[in-house]
Amino acid sequence: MREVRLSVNGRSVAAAVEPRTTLADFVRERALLTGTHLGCEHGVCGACTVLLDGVAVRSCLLLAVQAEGSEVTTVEALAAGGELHPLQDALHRHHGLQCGFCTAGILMSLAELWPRRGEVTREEIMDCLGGHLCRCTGYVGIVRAVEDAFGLGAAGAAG
Amino acid sequence: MKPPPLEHVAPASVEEAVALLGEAGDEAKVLAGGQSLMPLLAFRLARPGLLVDLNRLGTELGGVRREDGGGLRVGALARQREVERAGLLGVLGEALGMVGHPAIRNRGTVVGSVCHADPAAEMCALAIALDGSLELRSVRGTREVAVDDLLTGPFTTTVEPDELAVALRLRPPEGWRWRVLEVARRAGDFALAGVVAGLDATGERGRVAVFGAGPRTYRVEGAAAGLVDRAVDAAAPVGDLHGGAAYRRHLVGVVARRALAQLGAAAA
Ligand SMILES: Cc1cc2nc3c(=O)[nH]c(=O)nc-3n(C[C@H](O)[C@H](O)[C@H](O)COP(=O)(O)OP(=O)(O)OC[C@H]3O[C@@H](n4cnc5c(N)ncnc54)[C@H](O)[C@@H]3O)c2cc1C
Ligand code: FES
Ligand code: FES
Repeated sequence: MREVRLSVNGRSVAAAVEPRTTLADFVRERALLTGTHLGCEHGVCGACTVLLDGVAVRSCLLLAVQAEGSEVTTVEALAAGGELHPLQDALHRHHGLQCGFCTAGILMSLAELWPRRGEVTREEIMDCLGGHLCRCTGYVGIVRAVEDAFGLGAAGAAG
Repeated sequence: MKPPPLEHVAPASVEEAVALLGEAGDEAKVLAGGQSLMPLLAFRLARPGLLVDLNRLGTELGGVRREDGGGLRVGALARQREVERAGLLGVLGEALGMVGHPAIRNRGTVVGSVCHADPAAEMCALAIALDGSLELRSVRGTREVAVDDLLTGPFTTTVEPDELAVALRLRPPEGWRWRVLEVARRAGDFALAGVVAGLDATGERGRVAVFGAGPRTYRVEGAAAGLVDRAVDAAAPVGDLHGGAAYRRHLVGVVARRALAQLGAAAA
């Protein structure tokens, strides 16, 4: 067992874990934040995406011991003040989710781009969405929500 | 699934990393971005007793830079995203844009992809197209080996278990132009077939490095006319549920012809 200390959404969390414990399991079982979902556990589905020091990563492909001393941001941080983040609000309004299993990961990938809104291109945002599997929505609502939140204009418009 | 039980060390210097690998031999595996190794652990296809984690060696192993003579040196811990954004070599950035997804490239390294030796990896093909070589370090010394000589088969190389790749050098011949093209079922998927093609300044000599169509990436070189046929002749694809062998072989010809035509080859 190894003592690991890291910060999750600004709160320091320490726990003794086996070195093989993934960051995803650490967040869910030690920090007790279950908004981060585990689908495939091998990097393909994107459900487990979190920010590691501000950068979007698959938390199923990272060991908790590797995140020692880092700042991890999960979906729970987005509506921290009780108010939905503009990305969450847009997904809500445009029916960008049904079961919600994929949603946390999509939000965290988009959260990496959010500080650069206004300059990120449509192509970059779609590339980012391409890394997430959604079995419910058919993606149309998700794309509409993202266009709205990032101010891209309707599908087919330049940008 | 979850990774099997293992030990993890994150050495503080390249020297320490190499020493650890020297002691552990084939019990140990180098952990770079983890974007291939972690899935292998989850599937229990790899069961190393020890992971030697490079992620604390950003200062020594990070970064990508130009070298004298027009080459490029990519450090073992340079992330794919960082190299893509550095924009030092157009075809490298374009090829990286085809590797997985942004969140995968945020962690994955260029050197890790070459060491992993996936026959469908864009980076292996790019390395052999651009006369790439790996600088390998171990307690026994340092050697520099052409990537073309390192790749032996699917996911296998002649990199020894105690060797650490510290950098990839790319030395594109002067005056050549390059293009990377692939066919994949969805953005971010491994290619059904793809090529990194190059043409010299006269447009008469060229190269085609092929990925996704054989047990390892391979390269054909010579007169531009006939290059497409040679690339197809050398293909030995295995069919799977994403595409049959004949279809993949056909695709090699399509992407090779298209890439060379886009570069302006007359006879392609
Ligand atoms: C969803 C998904 C999609 C992907 N799509 C693609 C794709 O389209 N094309 C593609 O090419 N790849 C793809 N990949 C693989 C990905 O690009 C990996 O980043 C890359 O293959 C390995 O780089 P890494 O740094 O993550 O290496 P790791 O996973 O850390 O290591 C891979 C292997 O190389 C060895 N190794 C790594 N670094 C060194 C070193 N410095 N010295 C010696 N040995 C070393 C390790 O021991 C291990 O055996 C995908 C991965 C995922 C999860
Ligand atoms: S659970 Fe991590 S990508 Fe699917
Ligand atoms: S909303 Fe159900 S998987 Fe996306």
